[in-house]
Amino acid sequence: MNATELKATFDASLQRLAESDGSRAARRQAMAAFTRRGFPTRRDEDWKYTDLKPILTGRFDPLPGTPSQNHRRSTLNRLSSLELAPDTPQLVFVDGQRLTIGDSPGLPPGVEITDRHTAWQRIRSIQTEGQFREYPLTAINTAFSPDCTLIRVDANVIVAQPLHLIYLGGAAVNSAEQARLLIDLGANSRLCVVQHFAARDGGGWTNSVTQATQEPGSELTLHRLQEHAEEHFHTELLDVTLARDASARLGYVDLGGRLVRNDLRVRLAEPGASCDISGVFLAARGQHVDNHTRIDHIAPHTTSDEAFRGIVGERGRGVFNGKVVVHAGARGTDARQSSDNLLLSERGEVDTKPELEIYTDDVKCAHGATVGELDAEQLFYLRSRGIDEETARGLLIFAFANDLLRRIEVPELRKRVVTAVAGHLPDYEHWGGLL
Amino acid sequence: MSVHPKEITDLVRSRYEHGFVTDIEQELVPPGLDEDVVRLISRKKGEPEFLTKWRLKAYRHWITMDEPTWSHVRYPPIDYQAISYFAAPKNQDDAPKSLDEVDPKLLETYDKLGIPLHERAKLAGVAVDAVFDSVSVATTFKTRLAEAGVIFCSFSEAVREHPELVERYLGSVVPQRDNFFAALNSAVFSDGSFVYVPRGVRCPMELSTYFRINAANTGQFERTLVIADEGSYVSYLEGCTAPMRDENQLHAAVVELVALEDAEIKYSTVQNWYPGDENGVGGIYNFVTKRGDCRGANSKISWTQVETGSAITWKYPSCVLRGENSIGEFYSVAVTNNHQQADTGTKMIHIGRNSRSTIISKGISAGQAQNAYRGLVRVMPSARSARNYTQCDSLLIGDRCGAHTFPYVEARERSAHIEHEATTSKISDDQLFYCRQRGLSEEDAVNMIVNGFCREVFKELPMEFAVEAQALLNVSLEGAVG
Repeated sequence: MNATELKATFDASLQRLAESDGSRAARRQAMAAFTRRGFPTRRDEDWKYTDLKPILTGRFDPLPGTPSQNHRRSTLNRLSSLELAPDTPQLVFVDGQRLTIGDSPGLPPGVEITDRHTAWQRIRSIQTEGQFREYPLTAINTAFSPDCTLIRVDANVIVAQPLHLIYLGGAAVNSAEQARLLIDLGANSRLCVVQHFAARDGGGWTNSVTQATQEPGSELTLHRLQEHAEEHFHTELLDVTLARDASARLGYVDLGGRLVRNDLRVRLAEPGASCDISGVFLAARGQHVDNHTRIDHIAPHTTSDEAFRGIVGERGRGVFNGKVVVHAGARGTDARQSSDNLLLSERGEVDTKPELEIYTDDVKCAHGATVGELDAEQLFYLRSRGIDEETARGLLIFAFANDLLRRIEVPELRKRVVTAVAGHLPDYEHWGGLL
Repeated sequence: MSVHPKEITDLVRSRYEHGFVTDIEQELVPPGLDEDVVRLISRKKGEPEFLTKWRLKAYRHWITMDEPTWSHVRYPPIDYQAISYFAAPKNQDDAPKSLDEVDPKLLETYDKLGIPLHERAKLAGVAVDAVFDSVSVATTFKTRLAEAGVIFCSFSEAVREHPELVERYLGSVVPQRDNFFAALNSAVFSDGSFVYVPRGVRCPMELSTYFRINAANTGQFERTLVIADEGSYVSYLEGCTAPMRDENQLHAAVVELVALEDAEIKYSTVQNWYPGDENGVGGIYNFVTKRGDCRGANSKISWTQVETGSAITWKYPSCVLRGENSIGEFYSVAVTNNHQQADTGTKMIHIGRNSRSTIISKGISAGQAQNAYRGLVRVMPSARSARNYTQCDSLLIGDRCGAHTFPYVEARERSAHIEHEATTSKISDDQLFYCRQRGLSEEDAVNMIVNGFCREVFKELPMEFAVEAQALLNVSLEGAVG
């Protein structure tokens, strides 16, 4: 799959893609921008440590067909294993398309999913050439996404229950899942979303774009859990814009996938906006996980707190690039960022780059980065209390991750994630009631 | 607490003290660069054939390279064909044997700069190899060094007297193809300093070179090579001031350090080239490649720099920690004011077992200046138990300046232990208030706080440099505070 092939596929299928949703102009603009930009390469500073070649050489079909009845049935069978709690409202997506499932709980009052016309209008109104230049994969998503979901929460609506969005990529072999989600939070509303990626069949590619716009005083919690099969490719952009006094809590957990690249862009556009970001990833057995974040402090008195923790095992590679930009005039900014990594294998690699770009003086900014193996003294402490080496290591690794995992607000999700992380560690079955 | 804007403007406008031009005869090669110019430079300097070939190889590679654009600095395109690549004082044939024979006008220049060459050298026990534009014209304390077996001379002299050492080590740390500016330097370098400390010798004094940039339109391309043989120690001081100029001057120096087994090199720099006026006009473009190679086991290279001058500073003194237990250090204070831009930092490449590195970087940004720290810590799989500690702090003075941090950490060895910390803040009102309350003027309070901020770096400087550096810092930032 190269840029020329993509363009040809696009030209041949634009008619069908844009048939009933008025997306033609937006898709065209995106494709034109992508043709000018092309796929990012390692010569691009933002892609220095992550090579998209495996995706480019994979013969992905950017246009997955409609899921077959068979697939639909097997998908539904898997759902029960992914559900958080029986009464949690959920939306299910297969290869980027939303499935309507009969008996799932309805949306809470005050939450609405708009028609696709409205959603595409929205996309068109916010997309820019600059955005596509920076995030070329977003242009591919816009050009090919089969569906587009806009979730809107009315002003002053507090949604108590989390909204569980399940993405099951891979209806067909070599399919590319172009998932597109928009979230609009009205003033002083509150919403918690769990974005749950779990492609089963190996070798597919998920390319997701989520854009959230928060009106003044709104609160968004977004947990993104990625549990793809180990041969799956995952790239995504999460783009959040916050108005006055709005706040966002964003949490990433990456457990699966072969090549994972998470782009996060947060714009603290008005005074008092704040965000709190955390991320935990496991990378072993040739997995490559790249977290790339950029936080723009555009207005005065905005705060951001960002913490990523990586556990890198055998032949794994963990990459972190966190950029904090404090714009001129954004006085009173408080920004903190940390990237801590456990490098547990001889053949693992960690590349971390916490960046600060600051254009005003009245700021408090700090970042830290660490790379190392387990602390020998802590190990010794546990060993001296009769815990065997394997278990001691497992406990310490778990504790390292759990510092951030305990921030997950949805209890069912926290339990699922904690169990999944612990499941990757040695000797976990002997921990007894520790979890 | 606030300072009156008028007061700030006045103080920020404090002029560059060392702005004057000595008018002495110069021998100039017409502007432009091609293979003939490279050959001409080599011939004029009477270089052996290997060096001419070496230069040509560098030139041929340079023309295939593009000027780097990744750094956080902006400047108008440099026309490399408008630069004259060679300037030497006229009376080169009968080069002076001692200070008395030196062109009195030259000495006058040094006097204006407050560098009483002979006196200061004697008093401070410092041997000064003063580089005036491109050719060394005065070297002192040679005898004492010769007794210890230390070779300290101009680069051209080293090429004549010790070609085998030059051939062996030149380009072994910074190869001709290393980067755009290093390649350019390799092709056209005019002169510089050469130090060789033999096995087991502790150099009896601190070696010092004062650089000056003088003739209009001549880029200066210094080449410095310091070799510390097994078990030796040397401390090298580099400092400079330059006359006021309206035209931007290009400076692309290369410094190579080689530390063999158990050797230690301490390299200190105070850089105070003309930074341009308050509107950002003029000023030196300083594109420097500095790298040290800890080649032997237990070797140590330590870089200390105080950067207050230049319109653009592009400089990353680095250490390749090849030897087992080798140590790399980088201590830096970078000050930018008005429209100055600095993109500076270090690279620590860990290859040897138990290699250790420390990075302490302090950036101070005032006016409309941009100050960036860019660093790399890379641990190769061979570097078992490697250790790095990095701390870079930025201080912002005024709301129109910028401070940036771009640290790269690349770890490929699990027993490595790497820590990086960075903070950015302004001088806090609380600190200022505390000092003012105790009767210090605002100016003194700021100086005290800034000096405290830089203390960790200053204490690494040799005594006489530390004093100079503090004074320089105060002058550079006078009144830029609010």
